[in-house]
Amino acid sequence: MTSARPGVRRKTIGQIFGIPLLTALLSAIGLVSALVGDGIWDSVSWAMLLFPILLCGYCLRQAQK
Amino acid sequence: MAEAESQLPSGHSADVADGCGRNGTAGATGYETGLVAFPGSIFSSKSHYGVFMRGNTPLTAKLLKPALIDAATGKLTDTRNLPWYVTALLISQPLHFGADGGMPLKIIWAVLDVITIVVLITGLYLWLRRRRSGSSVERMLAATQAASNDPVLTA
Repeated sequence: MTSARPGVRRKTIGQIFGIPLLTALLSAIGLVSALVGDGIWDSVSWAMLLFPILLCGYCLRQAQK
Repeated sequence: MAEAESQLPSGHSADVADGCGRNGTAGATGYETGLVAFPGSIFSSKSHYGVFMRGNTPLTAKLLKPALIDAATGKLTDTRNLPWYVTALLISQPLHFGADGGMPLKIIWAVLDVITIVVLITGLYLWLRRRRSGSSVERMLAATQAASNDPVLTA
């Protein structure tokens, strides 16, 4: 449908699901590491769960351009 | 209370509880005493102390391991591990409350919540707009395209 339109390039499976899969993986690591322990584990959890938030911010800025 | 002579330290109830805790955790590595229930309470039987042990790592701190101590002899009667599904529920409990990981994680949760609310509200807004006839952008585009592409049908 969209690939027929000029200027819209067809994306591969990897291009479509790459970032969602990465987000899922990092979020899962973040959630589990918060459960596993304190200290460094908590910091890992913060870093991992910050990724979807930063991604949202990045996409919002891209959309406003 | 049992009338038979007890091997537990008698007298002060804290000493009895200590003894029960030691006996209960003797065979359970990785656990520490969380609660000692005296005989006759709802957490024990008429002739047993109920000892509830907690895991001693952050991952297992929510886990419980119950043990019954014979009140007459002070010996361990029985102890059980939790079924796997209760273990899974108890370990995942902090996910529900977002209570693990300190203040930064709470702030991250709050931001993620707000993002979710924005997605919900904008989606609702788009849906309501679509239902109002004539105000859909797609429908207007489709109408003008149809008019220009196929004048015979729309005329």
